Amino acid sequence: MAGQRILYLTAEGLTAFIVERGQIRSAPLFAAGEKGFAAFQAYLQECPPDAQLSLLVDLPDESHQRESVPFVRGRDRQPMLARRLNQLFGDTPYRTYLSLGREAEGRRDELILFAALTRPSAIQPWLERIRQSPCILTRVVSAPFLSRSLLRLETASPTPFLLAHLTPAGLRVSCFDKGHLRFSRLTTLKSGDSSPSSSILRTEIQRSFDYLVGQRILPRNARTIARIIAGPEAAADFSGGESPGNGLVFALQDPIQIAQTLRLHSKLASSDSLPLLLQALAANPGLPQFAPADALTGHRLQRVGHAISATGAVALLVSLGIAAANLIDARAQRLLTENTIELIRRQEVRLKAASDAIPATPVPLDQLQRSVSLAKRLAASTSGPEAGLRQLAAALAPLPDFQLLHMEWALIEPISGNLANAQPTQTLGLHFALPSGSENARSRVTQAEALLAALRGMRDAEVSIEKQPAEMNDAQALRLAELQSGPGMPQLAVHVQLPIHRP
Amino acid sequence: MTALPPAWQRLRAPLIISVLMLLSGIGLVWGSRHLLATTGQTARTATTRLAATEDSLRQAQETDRLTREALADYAALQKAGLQQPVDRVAWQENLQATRKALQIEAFSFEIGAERPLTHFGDAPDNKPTIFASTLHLRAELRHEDAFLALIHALQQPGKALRPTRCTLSRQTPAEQKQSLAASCDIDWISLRIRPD
Repeated sequence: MAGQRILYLTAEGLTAFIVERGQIRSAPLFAAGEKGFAAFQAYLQECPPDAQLSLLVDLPDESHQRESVPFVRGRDRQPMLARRLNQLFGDTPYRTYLSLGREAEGRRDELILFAALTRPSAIQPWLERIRQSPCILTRVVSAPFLSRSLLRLETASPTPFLLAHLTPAGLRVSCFDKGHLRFSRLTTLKSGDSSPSSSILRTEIQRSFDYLVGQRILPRNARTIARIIAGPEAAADFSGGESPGNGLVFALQDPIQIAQTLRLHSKLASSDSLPLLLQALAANPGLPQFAPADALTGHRLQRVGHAISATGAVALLVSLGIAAANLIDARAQRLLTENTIELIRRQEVRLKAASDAIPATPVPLDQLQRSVSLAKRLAASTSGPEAGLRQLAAALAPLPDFQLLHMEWALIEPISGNLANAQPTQTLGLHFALPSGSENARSRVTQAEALLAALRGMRDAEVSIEKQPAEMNDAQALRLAELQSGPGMPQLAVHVQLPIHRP
Repeated sequence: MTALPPAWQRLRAPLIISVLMLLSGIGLVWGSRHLLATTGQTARTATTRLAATEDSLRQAQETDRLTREALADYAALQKAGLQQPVDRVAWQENLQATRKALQIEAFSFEIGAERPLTHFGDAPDNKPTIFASTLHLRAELRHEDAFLALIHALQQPGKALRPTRCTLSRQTPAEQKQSLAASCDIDWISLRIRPD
């Protein structure tokens, strides 16, 4: 992975650094001026396309304003803060703000630290070259905001303290209250003076202290610690402890210890804290940044591009997942098909064997079945009238003195339906002669009733009367002439239907 | 055509790559779905074919069972004499022998022309397989027992003779010596199944 490219901007010019795994590499200084701008432009052209750049601004022209504003959230917050930034720093586009939290009392307004780089002309030419290059500016950060990262342990300090450190731009003295920046001042040193005398340092720190006390940012009658990032060789110069007449106390911070905390592996050559700042910037992405929106267009577009690429990649991954699931399903279907085809093959073999085993028939099977069935039924009904007549004889045997004139036996085929399956029935048509004459009316009726009773007693017989004596039928007229009919005239005609009992 | 500003050109590559990835994804999904649909259709077709084959197998087994049953019944009918054609000579001889044995004086008969017995469900172009010749017999008998003896005598073993109608009427003794007039219709059933 390529390291982070950090551009360090001072009043003298701009230096490019690459911070990678705790190692810092630098390019030559591009001095402010057309020559330096041209060299910087050439440097940018040599950078990889879409290389991301962070601009660390270390200029004396930086203003901070802490204000208490009504606590507003939602859509109104940004317009309100932008309006206030315009009022405070309307002549520069390089501005930012940092919320310091809400006040504990009153209507609990929000404390906001407004900050701006107040000399845009020192920044604009460099940003213009970056905008015209294939590189992408990701943020503009100021050294005072970044210097807070050097003292992580002191962020929760309840009392304000000062932090003094040297950079190529000069001596920077910053004041932090409850971990937040309140004030910062850069004192330009003589060119090339990277190790100023301790008296100069003391004087400048004391000057900043006096100013802050005058502004009532620092307490007048309490001790204030001034932390100075300097090597052990300066310990003797600041061993005097508390300055006479005020509560300012000097304390040295070992840069090597800070470098270890920041995991900086580069060797520190002097008291210059720039390597520490660069490493802190590389490790800290969440700092307030001063770049206007239009300067970060490239970065925003790059992020949009990344989002688009990520969306495409996610879509491709999802598609791959769906396609993989479909392929797994398709494979399962194919296996199922292969198994089914194997089963079909086996069943077709069985089908062929079964078809080959079917015996040949002289006529189509259905015709053979119907013919055989009908023939069987016909053969089953060849017994003739004997069974029916014997049944009739048995029924009439107990009756004395009756005269059967005529008997007709017939096989009755079913009227409709399948003759092959329906069973025929047998019928007996019986004509009896009864005693005639008016004087024999009672014996006539008695004999008729006895005959009918005997016939109805036959097993499974259905008896229907076709003709009976007029005495037995109220619906019929009774005439004397008819009662005197001759001996051959039937007076009782009965139809008996019997099933055919198979032998 | 106006060239895009340099900043916007940064989106060109991600857009092209994303569109390519999206198109690739759509292609993959479409292709895999098409493959899945094809294999699914093939599997369904195979399942349908398997069901049809199993159905055909069941039908063949059922046909085999029915055929064997029908042939067995046919063989039994052949054995029972149903396949014998009408033998008018033998029938006449039998009738004459019966008349003599029963001493019947008034005796007449008529053997009708052979006719096919069609049965329900037969296709019109199916050849008839069952035929019947009807014997119309009239006789005068002395008593009822002679009627049963006549019927017995007419039914010969090994032939499919099927009485379909019989009447027995009493006559006045003054008119006839033999007091019972009998008539019978008897079918000679013949089964004739010949291959086409």
